[in-house]
Amino acid sequence: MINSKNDEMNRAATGHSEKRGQTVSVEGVSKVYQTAGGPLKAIERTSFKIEPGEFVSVLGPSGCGKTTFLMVISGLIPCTEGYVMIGDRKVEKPYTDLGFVFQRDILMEWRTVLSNVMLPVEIKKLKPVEKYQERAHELLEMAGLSGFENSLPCELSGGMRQRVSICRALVSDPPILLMDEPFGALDALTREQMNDDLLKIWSKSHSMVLFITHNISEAVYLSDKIIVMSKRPGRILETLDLSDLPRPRNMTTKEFPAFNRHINKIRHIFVNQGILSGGEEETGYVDKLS
Amino acid sequence: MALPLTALEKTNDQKPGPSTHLGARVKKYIANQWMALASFIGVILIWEIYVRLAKVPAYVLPAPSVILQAMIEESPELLKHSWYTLYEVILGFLIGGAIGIPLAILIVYSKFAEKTIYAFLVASQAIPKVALAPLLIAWFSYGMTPKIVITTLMCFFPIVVNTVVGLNSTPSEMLYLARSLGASGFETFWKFRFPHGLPSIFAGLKVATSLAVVGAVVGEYVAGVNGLGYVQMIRAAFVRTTSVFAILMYLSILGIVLFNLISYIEKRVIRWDPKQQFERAQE
Ligand SMILES: Nc1ncnc2c1ncn2[C@@H]1O[C@H](COP(=O)(O)OP(=O)(O)OP(=O)(O)O)[C@@H](O)[C@H]1O
Ligand SMILES: [Mg+2]
Repeated sequence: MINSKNDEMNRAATGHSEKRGQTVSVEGVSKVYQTAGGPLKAIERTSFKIEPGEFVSVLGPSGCGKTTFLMVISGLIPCTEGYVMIGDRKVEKPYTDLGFVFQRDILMEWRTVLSNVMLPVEIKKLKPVEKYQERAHELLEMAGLSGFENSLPCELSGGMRQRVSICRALVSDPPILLMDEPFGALDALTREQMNDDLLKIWSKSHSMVLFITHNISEAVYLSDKIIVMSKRPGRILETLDLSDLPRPRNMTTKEFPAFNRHINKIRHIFVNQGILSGGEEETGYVDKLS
Repeated sequence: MALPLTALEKTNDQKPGPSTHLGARVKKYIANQWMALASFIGVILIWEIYVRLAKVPAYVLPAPSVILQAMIEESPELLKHSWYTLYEVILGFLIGGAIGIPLAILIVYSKFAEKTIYAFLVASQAIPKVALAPLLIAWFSYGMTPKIVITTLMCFFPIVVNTVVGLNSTPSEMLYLARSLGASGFETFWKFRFPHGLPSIFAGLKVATSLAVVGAVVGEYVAGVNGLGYVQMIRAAFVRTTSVFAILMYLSILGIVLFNLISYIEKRVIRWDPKQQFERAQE
C-alpha cells in the first residue's frame, strides 16, 4: 500500500521513460446481465492482451458491450465467465490504480472544477498535495480550462465538463487509462485538438490507454491496435495492427496511404457485418419498385 | 490548448458580483417579486373596500386595517405566546430532523431497515397524526412535551422520505467512480451520496417547517395553556374574530419566516441547484 503510493508520487514527480503499467489480459470473458426481460448477453467469450504502454482502441456499434467491457476490466462489475488479469493479479474487486473516463461526464456539482480534478488525489490520499495541485493546473490549462478552476460544473458547457472529467482521470498519472467515448460530446474542432493533446500526454506518461470510440478515423489516428467488435453480444471481429503508421502522429499521418487503407478495411468489416450499409446499391431502390 | 474557442469562453467568466447595498437588494427583490406583491396588495385592497362598502360586521369579517390595528395593539400578549409556539416548532423540527435524517441513512444502507422500519413508516401515514393529539396528552400530560411530540411526528415523515429519495438518487456512474477511486463506504456516503442528496433533503426540510407549525398549533388547540393556538381557541370562543385573524397573521408570519430561513440556508449550501442555475441564467 505504502509502496504503491510512493510509486505514484515518483511517477508524478519524475517523468521517466520506460513503458508503464502491466499487461492486461482478458481471458474468455462473457457478461450476462440479468434484466427484467430475462438474461441479456452483452459480451461473448472475448480474449485479448494489451501490453504496457500500448494505445488500444475498441470500435463497435452502439450497444455492443463496449462500456460493459471496460467495467469488467476495471473490476467494477463481475464477469459471468472467464477472467481478467492485470499483471499477475486476477481482477476480482475494483482495480484502483487506473484512471477511468466515463461515457457521461459525472462531475460533483458541488465541487469547483479544480476540486473535481483533485478528487482522486483526495480519496487516494496521494502526497504531496501541492505537487498534484500543480499538475491539476497544468492539465486544466492544456484542456483550455484555465480561468475556470473555481467555477462550478453547472457553469460549464457540455464539452468543457467532459474535459474536466478527463483531467480528473489524468491527475494521478495512472499507468492504465480507460476512456469510454471521452470525446463523444465534443465538436469536431475541439475533438481533433483533444486527440493531439491526448497523444502528447500519453507519449509523456507512457501509460496504457484503452480507448472506446465510435469514430473510425479517430481510432486509426490514435491507436497502436484497434479491436473491432461485433453487434451484441460483443465478440472480437478483428484486431488491427497499426504499427505501419509511424509515430509521432500528426497532420501528415492522415495523408498516409496506410491511414485510409485501415479506415476502409474497418468499413468493410462493418459492411460485411451489416452494421454499415456501404452506401447506395447499384440497382437502386426505385428501380426495384418499378 | 491552442484553441480560439478558449478566448471566447473566458469572456463569459464574469460572475455576478454580490449586490452590496441594502437598497440595491431591496430594489432587486421588488423587481423579482413585484407581481406577487401587487396581487397581494390587490387582494387586501379589495377586501378592505368590500368590508367598508358592504358594512360587514367585524365579528364576521374584519377589514385588513382593523386586523393590522389588532395585531399592533395586542402585540405584547401575542408576542409572548408566539415565543411558546416558536419554541415548540423549532424544537419539534430539530428533533424531527435529528431522528429523521439518521433513520433515513439507516434505511438506505440496510435492506432490513428498509423492509421493516420504512415499510412501517409508509403504512403509518394512513393515521392522521392530528388525531393522535388526545392520546399524546394522555401520555405526556399538559405542558410543552405533547406539543413538541406532535410537531416532531408531523416533521418526521417528509424529512425521512426526502432524505431516502435524495440518498438513493446518486447516479450509478458516480458510485462506480467512487469505487474505482477506492473510496471507503464512509467516503462514498460523505463525499458522493450525501452532497448529491442535499437538494432533496432540503426539499423535505422545507415541507417539514410548514407541517411543524400545524403540529404545534394543533397541540395547543387540544391541550394548550400557552401559545398562539391556545389564545386563538379562547378568542374564537368569545367570537373575537378580529383577534382570531390577528393571530392567524402571527402564525403565517412565523411560518413564512421559518420557511425563508431554511430557503436561505439552502441557497447558501446548494449553489449548484439546477433551478437556481436556470433562474440565474435568465437575468
Ligand atoms: N446495468 C445493466 N443492466 C442490464 N443491461 C445492461 C446494463 N448495462 C448495459 N446493459 C446492456 O448491455 C448491452 C451493452 O451495453 P453497453 O453499455 O456495454 O454498450 P456500449 O457498447 O457501451 O454502447 P454505446 O456505444 O451506445 O455506449 C446493451 O444491450 C445494454 O442494454
Ligand atoms: Mg457505452
